[in-house]
Amino acid sequence: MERHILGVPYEEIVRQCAAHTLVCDSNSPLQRVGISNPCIEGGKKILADEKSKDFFRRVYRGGLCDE
Amino acid sequence: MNETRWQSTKVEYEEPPQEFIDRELQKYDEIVTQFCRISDIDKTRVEVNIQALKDVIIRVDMRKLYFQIYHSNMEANEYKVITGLECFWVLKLRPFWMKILPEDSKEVMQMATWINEKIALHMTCSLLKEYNPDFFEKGQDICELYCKELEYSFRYRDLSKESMFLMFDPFYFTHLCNASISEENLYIL
Repeated sequence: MERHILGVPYEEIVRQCAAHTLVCDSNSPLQRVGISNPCIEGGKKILADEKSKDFFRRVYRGGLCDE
Repeated sequence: MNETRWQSTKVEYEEPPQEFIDRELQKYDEIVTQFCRISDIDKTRVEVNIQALKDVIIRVDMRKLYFQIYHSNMEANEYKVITGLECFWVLKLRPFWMKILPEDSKEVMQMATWINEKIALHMTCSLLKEYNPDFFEKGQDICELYCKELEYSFRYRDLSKESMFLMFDPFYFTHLCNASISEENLYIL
């Protein structure tokens, strides 16, 4: 008698399990953009430009909006 | 059988050497220095719980191992590492603090109360400044609102690591697309 699990023939279970349709996230072939400490480099750019520095000072020191 | 399946398998996390921790601590020191210079805060007032910051470093490192084991050797991109891992753990473990002094203004008191959110915001903004500079150059008023929304969300909303990954993926892909058309060789394809 043909073996069944949950009503599915065992041969079909094996076929489906072998299909490897499960995926894992690898988020595109390119993972890294390149600079080792980009937030430090970005911070240097903020500090090097007065306009940018003023903008972020206002952002960091400013009050918060309501939800 | 299921109960014994993993008994002979050992996937152990090995703590990194002290030099690795030192380098990472140095990185956070630089980030806090920059943040204080931008926001005109005396850096000596920003205190740190080294145990909590080391915990941030270890948690990020552990997650990188997890990616490697369970996500096809994935090396997480900088957006994932900085926003989804480093900022996430800074916000959760809150390693930084500032004592409020009697003479402090309301503004400084608010800085002290929100110091971890503000440092995480600075990490995010610096990352975007480096890789997505256009974002801050067009419509500064909108960017300011976006930053405030982020800061509020960092404190009061339920943001998981994965939601942080997704939140910043559009910036990551925008950067890749810009890089692919601005350089001679196609970068992505």
